[in-house]
Amino acid sequence: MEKSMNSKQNESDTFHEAVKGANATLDYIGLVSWSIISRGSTAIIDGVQKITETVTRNVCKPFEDITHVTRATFGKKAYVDEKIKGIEETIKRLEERLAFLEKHGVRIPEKDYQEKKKELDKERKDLLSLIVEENKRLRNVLNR
Amino acid sequence: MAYTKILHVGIDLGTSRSVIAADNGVRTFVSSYVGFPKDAVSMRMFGKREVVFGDEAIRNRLALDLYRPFDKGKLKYSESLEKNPKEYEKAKSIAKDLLEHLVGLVTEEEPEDVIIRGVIGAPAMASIKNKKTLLTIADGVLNDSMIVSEPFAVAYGLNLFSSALIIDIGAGTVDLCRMAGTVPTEEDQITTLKAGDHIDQVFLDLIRKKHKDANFTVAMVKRFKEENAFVSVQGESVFIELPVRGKPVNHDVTEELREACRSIVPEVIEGIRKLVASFDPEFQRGLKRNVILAGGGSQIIGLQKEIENYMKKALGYGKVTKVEEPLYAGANGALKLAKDMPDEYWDQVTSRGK
Repeated sequence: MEKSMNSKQNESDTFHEAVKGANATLDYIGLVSWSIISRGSTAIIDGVQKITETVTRNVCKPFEDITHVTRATFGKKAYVDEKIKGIEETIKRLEERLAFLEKHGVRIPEKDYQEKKKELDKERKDLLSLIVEENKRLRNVLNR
Repeated sequence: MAYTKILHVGIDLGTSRSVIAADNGVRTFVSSYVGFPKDAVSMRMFGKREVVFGDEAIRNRLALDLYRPFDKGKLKYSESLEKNPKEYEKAKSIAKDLLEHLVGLVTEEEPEDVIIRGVIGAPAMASIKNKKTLLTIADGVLNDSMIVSEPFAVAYGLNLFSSALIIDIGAGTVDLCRMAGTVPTEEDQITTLKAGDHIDQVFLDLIRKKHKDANFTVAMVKRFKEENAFVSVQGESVFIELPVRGKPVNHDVTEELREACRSIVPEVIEGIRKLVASFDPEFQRGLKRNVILAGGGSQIIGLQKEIENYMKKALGYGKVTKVEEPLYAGANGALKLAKDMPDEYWDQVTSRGK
């Protein structure tokens, strides 16, 4: 009797083990399938997204360019023209000022040009004295 | 001592332009033209001014008696004052007006009792008579004045006292001067009369010959030359707009302008050759290496190269350099000289109280 009961117990365990195994197999198959499906769909979505983005960008670009050109022509152009005109006027003013300075020089503050004369070396002094002598001779002729 | 403030000026009284530079920093130039209103109507036009100067005088020449006091680097009639005493006195008075105007431009903001000491550049080979005349003119305008050779003033401004050959190409004269470490003597200097005015005349004659219908004046031709002068073979064609029976017409004057500009070169080259050949042989190389072009004529495009080429043929070698500010080189040098001159030297040539 006991033997028969042990035997039944063993059979029941084997059955439970088999069910558990089947469950685990199903779970695994389910997970694998889900993984494949989800990875596959991600790849497809990414690809589609990439393709769509490129196509959309390329399709839109001419329109964007047209928009830019149109804006530059009818909107921004006036602003740019105004800026260029301003720069041209500034350059013209600077050129006029430069021409004036080239012609008339830059006025030096009085104290700077009234400073004491620098000491000259002997050679320079000799040279200048020759010029003075020549001018003295000229003045003598003039006063005669 | 009533005088305290001293203003130094360097002056280049040129045939075409008169230039002044002062140590208060002001420098300027005026065309050497002086005009006097012809009548009461024209005087009204100039705000009752009795005399008009520079470009304003040229622009309004139809309403003025226009004078150019200098010719070929000298005051007109200064060499023949015995024959033309009246004309000489007039030319002297006009030159004085011009000098007064020029000095007035740099002393506008200076006090009335300022002492003005000036160094004036004269053509390299100006005669004693001419230098005397310049001093007489200056005496009434400047308190103290000295005369120096114009190319020497250029050399002084550039600190070139030895082994340098200065060529100052003006409207009336081309002055050549070799620097040998001292004040140049007569042997160191050459003046030729084929200068800017000569180019204008040749150019005018050539245009007249080629374009007989065109109507123009020397002033128009001169203006055009100043903007376009060249001697080089390569380059673009140049066209001048001249009226033909009242209608402006473009005329190709490339060859005429080149020929006119080249007309001064042979004498310049001959001058260089003479000054180099008569120099100490040991220092000739240095002289050839240091040829300096100054004056308005130095702006002729290709002239530097042209002179170098001629020098290579005639002298074996030549290096020509242009000064940075051709118009002001003489006045700047004269100013430097005036500033460097010690007070005791100035006292020896003072005209104050005379």
